[in-house]
Amino acid sequence: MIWPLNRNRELNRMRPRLYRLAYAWCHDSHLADDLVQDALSKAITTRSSLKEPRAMECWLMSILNNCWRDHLRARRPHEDIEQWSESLESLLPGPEDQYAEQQLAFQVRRAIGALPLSQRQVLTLIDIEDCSYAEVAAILQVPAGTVMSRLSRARLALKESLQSMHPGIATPRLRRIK
Amino acid sequence: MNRLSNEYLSAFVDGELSRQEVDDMFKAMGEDSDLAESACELRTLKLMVRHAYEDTLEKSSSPSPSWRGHLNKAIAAMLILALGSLTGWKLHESTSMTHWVTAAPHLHKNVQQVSLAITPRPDRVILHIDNDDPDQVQSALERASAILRNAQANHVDAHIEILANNRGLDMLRTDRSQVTVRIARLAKEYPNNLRFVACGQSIKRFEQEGQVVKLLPQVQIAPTAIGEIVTHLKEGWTYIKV
Repeated sequence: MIWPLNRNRELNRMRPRLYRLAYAWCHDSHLADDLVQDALSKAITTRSSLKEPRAMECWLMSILNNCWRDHLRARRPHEDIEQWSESLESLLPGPEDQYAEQQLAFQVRRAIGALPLSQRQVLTLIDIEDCSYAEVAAILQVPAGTVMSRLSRARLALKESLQSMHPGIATPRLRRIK
Repeated sequence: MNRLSNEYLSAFVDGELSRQEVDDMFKAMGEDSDLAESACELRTLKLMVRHAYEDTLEKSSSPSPSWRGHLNKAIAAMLILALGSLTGWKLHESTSMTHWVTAAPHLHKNVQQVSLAITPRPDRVILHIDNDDPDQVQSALERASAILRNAQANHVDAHIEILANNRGLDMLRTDRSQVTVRIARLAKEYPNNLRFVACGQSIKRFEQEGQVVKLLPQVQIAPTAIGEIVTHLKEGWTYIKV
């Protein structure tokens, strides 16, 4: 299969979005960069598997997901990834985050980082990348119903987590504008 | 799928429902304030998740050990405003806006309206578009035009802002917009009541990708879309995601 030059440019244009997604999954800038580099390298070497150029974005995110799971397996080679990844939390903040830890934005990220990995991936693909439920199901290779239930649980957990930090956030009372 | 389940509400917020289902949901929200409240909460959460990672786009090529701290501070400043609004003030579900606004044709369809302020200003509306779907671009312009027309008819000095970011920016670019004539006509018709605003962050990102971004002469630039939205919400504006 011929890999057109403009396809390489498309890959490069996707790099920032892949990085953002990888960072949202692992919360580690260096690891996110490595994952994106790995994913783009694999995309080039497995380009023949891309049947429909318009599906490139989902295809790349699917490769990124595989790279992320490969990384997790490499860290824990003798354990079942499906079991422990559900409780995996992202990396804790380093010293440079001491100030930021007091900030709400950090707390939002931390709440997302504390979600089970499967929920975190669904949430970020939908809320950050604007993927449809069907696209997320294809990227993560899970049924659409699973996507919906994971998303629902993720949002509920996120809401409760933020509510515990800021009691008013999830309990606003509505008033109609007359 | 249970129509009143959390999954169904999420599907509504994520634009996964059919047009008829969306219409039904808006009708149900009009009759059930708790349901409307839940939808507003989910929409707020979605916005927070999206913007919590927005600046990472700029950091992808050269991450450094200290960038996260700066990033958190920048995002925190915006989210503090958003959370401050939610914690200290009231969240106003505005599907029941004033008569002259709701009288605008099709305004109630496929939009999500939120206002955050002690004193809401139904005569101030921000229409947010973040994609280049021609139907949605047309919809944004039609809604702005309809609201202003109805306001004029009711002798109300309404102000509308059409805010574009991400791919939505295309409608405001000289080389990509399919609606240059219509924008020029609307700007001329409502010189003091209609603003077209582009997200500076999106412009910067496109330029980093090598694009030359030239905007229509009627367009103003805000530093960030979220900053613009939050600032207006604090001032009582009603937010409508097109």
